[in-house]
Amino acid sequence: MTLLGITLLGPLGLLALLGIPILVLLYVLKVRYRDEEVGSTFLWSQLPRDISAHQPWQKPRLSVLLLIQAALVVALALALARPFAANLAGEQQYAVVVLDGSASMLATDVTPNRFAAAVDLARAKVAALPDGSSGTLILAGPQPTILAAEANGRDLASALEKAQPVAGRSDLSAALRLALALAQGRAGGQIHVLSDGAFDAPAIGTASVPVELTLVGMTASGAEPRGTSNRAIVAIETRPEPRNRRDHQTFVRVRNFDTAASSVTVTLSVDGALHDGRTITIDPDGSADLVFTGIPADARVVAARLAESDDLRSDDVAWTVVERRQPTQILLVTHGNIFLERVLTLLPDVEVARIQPRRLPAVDLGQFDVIVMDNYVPDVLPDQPLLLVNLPDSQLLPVSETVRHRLLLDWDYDDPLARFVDLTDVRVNRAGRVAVPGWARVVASGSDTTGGSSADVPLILAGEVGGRRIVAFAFDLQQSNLPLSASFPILMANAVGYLQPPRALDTRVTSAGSALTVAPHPQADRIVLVGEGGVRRAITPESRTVTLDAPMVPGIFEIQQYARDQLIGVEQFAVNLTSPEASDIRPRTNDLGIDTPTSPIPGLPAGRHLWPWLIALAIGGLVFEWWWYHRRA
Amino acid sequence: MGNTAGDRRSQRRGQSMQFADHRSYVAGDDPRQVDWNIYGRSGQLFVKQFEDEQVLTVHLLVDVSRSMDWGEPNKLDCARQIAAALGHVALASHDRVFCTAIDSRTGATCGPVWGRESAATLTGMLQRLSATSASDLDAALAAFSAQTRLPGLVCLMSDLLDPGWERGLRRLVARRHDVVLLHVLAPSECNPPIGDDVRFVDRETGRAIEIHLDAVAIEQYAERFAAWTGEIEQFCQRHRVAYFRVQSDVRLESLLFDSLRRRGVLR
Repeated sequence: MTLLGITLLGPLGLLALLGIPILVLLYVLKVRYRDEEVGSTFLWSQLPRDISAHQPWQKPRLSVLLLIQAALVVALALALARPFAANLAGEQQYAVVVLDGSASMLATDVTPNRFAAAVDLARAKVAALPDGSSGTLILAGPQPTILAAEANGRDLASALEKAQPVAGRSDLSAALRLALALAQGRAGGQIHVLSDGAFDAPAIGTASVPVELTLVGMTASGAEPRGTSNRAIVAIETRPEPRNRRDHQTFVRVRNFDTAASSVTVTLSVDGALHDGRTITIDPDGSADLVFTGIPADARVVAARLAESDDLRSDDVAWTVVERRQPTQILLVTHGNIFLERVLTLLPDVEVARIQPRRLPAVDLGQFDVIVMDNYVPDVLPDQPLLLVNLPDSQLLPVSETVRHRLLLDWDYDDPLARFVDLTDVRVNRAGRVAVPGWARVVASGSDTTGGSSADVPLILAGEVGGRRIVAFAFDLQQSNLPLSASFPILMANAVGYLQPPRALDTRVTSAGSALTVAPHPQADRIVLVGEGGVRRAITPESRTVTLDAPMVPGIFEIQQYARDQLIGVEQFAVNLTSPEASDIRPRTNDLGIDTPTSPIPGLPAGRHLWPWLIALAIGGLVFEWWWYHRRA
Repeated sequence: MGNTAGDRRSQRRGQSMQFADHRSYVAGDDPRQVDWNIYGRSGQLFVKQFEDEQVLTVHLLVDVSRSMDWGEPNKLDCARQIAAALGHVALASHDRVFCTAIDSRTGATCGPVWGRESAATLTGMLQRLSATSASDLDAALAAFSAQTRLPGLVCLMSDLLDPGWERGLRRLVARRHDVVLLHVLAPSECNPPIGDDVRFVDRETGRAIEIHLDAVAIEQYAERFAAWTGEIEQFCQRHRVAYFRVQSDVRLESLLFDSLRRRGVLR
């Protein structure tokens, strides 16, 4: 229904105009009054007329209040009719704007940088949308992020103001697929991609909505206005020196993305102090590896920097955080097992203490990370992770019988304990038959070589019960040839590695937006991610591991753990842009390679909804009525 | 203020032994009245003035319009009690008492009566008073003024709920009466309670006014009431009329021995 160029989307709302006669009726209707005799109405008759009541069925006086209330009813009825003022600007559109947020968008070959230029272009496209149009803004990062969904032009512009690129690669293909899913089938649907072209063409064949790629900083032909210049640190790592484990060495790889050879000065700082510096010449599109030695063992943060400026600053610096791990303390409780003692001693970064089982109650177990028990299980199990060898019958792992046949081993190749382990030639002469509890998994089992028994015998079990990890060997090592196998030290290393408490951080160097796994301290009730700008995120740990997204900008960050507001642990990690793909800021494509229609599905006429204004008018009228009534009083 | 000497002091100066004031000597004054003591001290002639003690004529005017026969306590009952009390005091003081009922004209009349033995006559007359017609103070007081030859003390007990109150009072003042106005109102006329939708029916005219008796209406009424009573008080002040606003639930002894005595109406 169209009236004076205004379309009423809900004309039934005009039925509310029936409220006007009802309102007038209320003014006209007789009101029941209680008769009361008074000495005289001399004074009452001199009061203002509007507090005196109407005579029954009298003609309603044209009062301001009646006019205001009638106007309110009209405004509300019109609002319910959802008036829509169409204009000549065209049809409503639904635009999905995909903003490339990769690190290459930080290149400064365009002032101030490519990302800011892309934001300006996106803002112009949003501003050009007809009234009543809506859109969605997607930032293409490692994962696509929706910054504004089904928003109007103002909200889209606001989201564009807050958009920030990520210091890493972007998956433009995933962002485009998301955009297509959102825009497909929508009236007026269209997709605008704003990028510098530094991406690989997505493998999307056809699309049902127009997809327009706008290259930032490129000429109309897709060529660069000027050649880009970038050299980047694409790899960095610090590790103990092989010959002198007290010192560390840092490996740095620098790559030249220019089309001409470049001279590069690389400086290395240790905990903020300059440690070394070298100048090298790198061929076009080539790389150079540098090894800096003499890094003190107590160093914390090692930073490599390129002295010369180029078009992308984010990859001119990279950090590593040196992890200082304490040796794993293992307590071996045994009557004597030469195989166990020797293999544990051979494991790297492990210190082994050996005691007799009878002395176990006198030992402070809190200082040990892993406890190995050979042919012994105490009544009360310690809280530490346990490696049980030749386990006797116990409540934890009941042993029903002793299998006295030669057993061939079969194992789960995918189990972490069996990694790089080959047990093909291992034989077990005697083993206890363990009833596998629900918390345990069978890593290796034995089958009877004589054919005397058809059931497999669980020989190596692993699992987690009561908050502790347990690995159990159900046979005596001396009753098998496993200790003589080359896989034995590997298997034991895997077992100790499985039992070791998890590190507070799974990695010390990561890339922007990557998943970061934190193992909270048992007492920690708050984990805080802190960067240069202060606290970036705070979470409450609810499980043994917590996964965070690494920050989107390069730098050194800290994971702080608190227990009752007391700091109980600080772990540093670095976020680097050490990605050759991200540092290659040269355009690789100027075409998305998608077959798209040239025009979108027609949308609704563009225009403006008028009901919010009518509601505002009604509210204003109510306020005026209130003021008018009290002013008279 | 009477035509016969008595023991009621008048506001006029007269021949009694009760000294009242001094004034400057003018030619023709009785030389016996000159205060020679002041002359000896100041050299100026002053004449002593004495209060005129006369038999006072007291007019008790009771408004018996139908608006007076209303209220809790009833305004007419209150006016009757006040009139009776004032009448007793006057009779005990050997004053001459007239009592007249007024509504739209003058009605029942009693008097003149003298002496304590006439109190029963006065009381009987007051008890027989009843409200019968509408109020027209102007007409009633005009009629009273025409009937009364000599000025005296006029005690008017009325609710003044009549637009002619001002003209009526002017007539009394013009006849040189000493006027005491006892403005009798019911408590609910002074402070009406908040209520719902009410149709007020006028006892005198039968006219009805429908009012939504909310706080706004009460507030407006209070403003109008204050303006009306203020107007009456100002009129009385200008014309030397002793004004007393009396709520019908007033304690009579408080009115007589506190308010009226303090203002010199009673001694």
